[in-house]
Amino acid sequence: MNLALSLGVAILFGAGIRLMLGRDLVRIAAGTLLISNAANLFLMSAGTAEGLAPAQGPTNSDPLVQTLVLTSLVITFGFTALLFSILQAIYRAWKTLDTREIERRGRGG
Amino acid sequence: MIFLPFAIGWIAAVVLFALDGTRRWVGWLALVAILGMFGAAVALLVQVADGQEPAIVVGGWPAGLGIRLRADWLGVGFAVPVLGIIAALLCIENLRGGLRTRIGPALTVLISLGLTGVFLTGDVFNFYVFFELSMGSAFAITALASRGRHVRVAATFMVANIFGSVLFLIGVGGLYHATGSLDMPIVSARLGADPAGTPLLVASLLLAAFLLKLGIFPFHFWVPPVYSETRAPAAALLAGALANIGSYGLLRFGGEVMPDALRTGRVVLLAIGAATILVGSVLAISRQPVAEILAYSSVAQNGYILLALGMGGYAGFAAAYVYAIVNSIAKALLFSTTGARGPLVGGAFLVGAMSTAGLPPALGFVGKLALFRAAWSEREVWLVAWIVAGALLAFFYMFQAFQQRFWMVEEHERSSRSVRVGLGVFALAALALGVWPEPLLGTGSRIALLLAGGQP
Amino acid sequence: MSLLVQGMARLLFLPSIVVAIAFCVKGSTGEGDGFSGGLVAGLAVALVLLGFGPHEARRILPLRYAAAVAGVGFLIVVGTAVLPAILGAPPLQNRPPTGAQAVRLGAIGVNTALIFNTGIGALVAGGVSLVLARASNGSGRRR
Repeated sequence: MNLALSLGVAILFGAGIRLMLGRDLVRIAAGTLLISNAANLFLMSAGTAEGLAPAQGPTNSDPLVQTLVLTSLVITFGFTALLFSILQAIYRAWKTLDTREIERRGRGG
Repeated sequence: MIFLPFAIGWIAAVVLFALDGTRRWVGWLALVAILGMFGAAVALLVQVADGQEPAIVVGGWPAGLGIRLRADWLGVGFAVPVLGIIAALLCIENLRGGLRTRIGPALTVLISLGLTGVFLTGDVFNFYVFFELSMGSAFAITALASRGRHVRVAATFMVANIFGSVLFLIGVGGLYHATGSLDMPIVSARLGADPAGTPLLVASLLLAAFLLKLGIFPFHFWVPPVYSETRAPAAALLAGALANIGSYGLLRFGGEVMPDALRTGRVVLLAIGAATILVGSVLAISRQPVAEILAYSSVAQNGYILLALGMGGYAGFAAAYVYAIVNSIAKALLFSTTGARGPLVGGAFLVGAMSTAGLPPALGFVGKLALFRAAWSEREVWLVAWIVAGALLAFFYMFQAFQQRFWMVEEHERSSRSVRVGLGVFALAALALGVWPEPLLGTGSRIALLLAGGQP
Repeated sequence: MSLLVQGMARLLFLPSIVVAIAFCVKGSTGEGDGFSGGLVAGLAVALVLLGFGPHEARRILPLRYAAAVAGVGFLIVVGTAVLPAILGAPPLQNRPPTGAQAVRLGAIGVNTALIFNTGIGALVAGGVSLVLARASNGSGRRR
């Protein structure tokens, strides 16, 4: 688990959380995409580590982990697509994608 | 033939996606498929009760290398009731005919498939994939079931659960970093041999993920809006079937894969469970729409499961399992009655309400009793007192809900007879289980033996 | 700018499809995999949608068959997974097993993994195209 990968995961995760704390639904969705990918990157880094993982011949990277990350990426992709279609539906219903606005109106504004 | 429920599920999913779910017969076809899966699960239960442990490695790879599917008491103990609940819910929904969408039936089958996979897989990452399959289908159903302005809860639901999934994935990554394997027994063995603090860290991540999914304090914020603003069938599915991913996950990962971490975290679990019961029950009182009361009640009831897990040991695990199943059935019943009218509906609600409050002869009494036994064996007075207090609060808000729903409003139109009969049958089944709880309790003790290593 | 994208779409579409098919087919032995193949095909569709706008794109590409393509892919995938189970072997087993002789189509060995990868490619390509087609339904300016 080298420094570059750790840094990458940390930056992605931090940026994603920062976005998720925002007002705009699109930003929140983008934030979830970023943190999902941060998790995927972390998972992939497990394939480059030394530890109790069995040695896979002369190379250092573990092909199993790449398969895991691929599956995880597919899942992330599907969910992101679904989330954005839900956002489209929300826009059609509320005419805005601002969470504070939606909450205000929902409370009877 | 452990693959049988999966085969039925996958084939049914392909067929159902090609058909148009707005036709009545497609919904019934989905029910046939789910009943088939239920039957296969029961067959597996019979095999497990016989002492076998059916297992298979996908692709024919050697065990430890490939993905292992295995049926043990914990797996079939969850699979059989949950598939039964989904079948009952789908049946009632077909009778009611309210939620007619093109892919509704197909999505319900996918949820069943995902849940079966969650319960029957022996591979940590495969667990993740199957539970994402269930959650994805659940997101879609929730979005379809919240028409108009209520669709915003679908986004809340998704974002909260995706965050939980991310935590879980990081935990899985941590498990692989630490042990180099994904097979549950192997992970468990290797973690036991590793004295460093990694297991605790990973366990905390997994715990946080499951707490988020179950909707336990302090991660319960998404449950009330989602459960109350989605239409009845979807809410029933969420509360009655999907919440079990969290309960099963806690039992499997806490009990089998990382038992040391569970023991270390006892106090935390007890504290969180107690807080959840308090917050959920108090907030449930004097809410207006019945669905909101039910939502907060779900939060509170899940707290009991955490309490049982915190107690741990033989009695604790058995109580956690029994309570999880009992609660799922009761909540499924309660949420299904939302929107239905008529005398039998009131009876069904009453059964569910009594179960939540823990009154005999309803099912919930059995659950509360198991909890009492566990707490008593711990000799912790405050635990017993807390459980009693929680039960009193539950009685109070359920009574309020019943009043609001059935006494204050003059109801002129009734739901169709078939819906009322369906609900009545469901309620009767729940009642029967309350009067004859032996199968449930027996399974619970087997599971406890499995997890606690045979020390009553 | 849009003219540039349109030009690129014209140029890149067919080669992208070829690459996608190559990924699906090379899946079991070389780089590539059903999912990447499907994704590349989906990206090609996205490029055409961006370059030509939804209206024109629908005239050029048979987007209404996206759901059917995905369905066929799904069928192939489930069939490959379930068929061995019906025949008594563990599900998703690779036939012919490693080491045995395989039917050859030119340089490619045909085995169930190849079929599986093609199924996944179709499923993903169809699925992505479906999502893109539905999302672009009401948008886009008339030229």
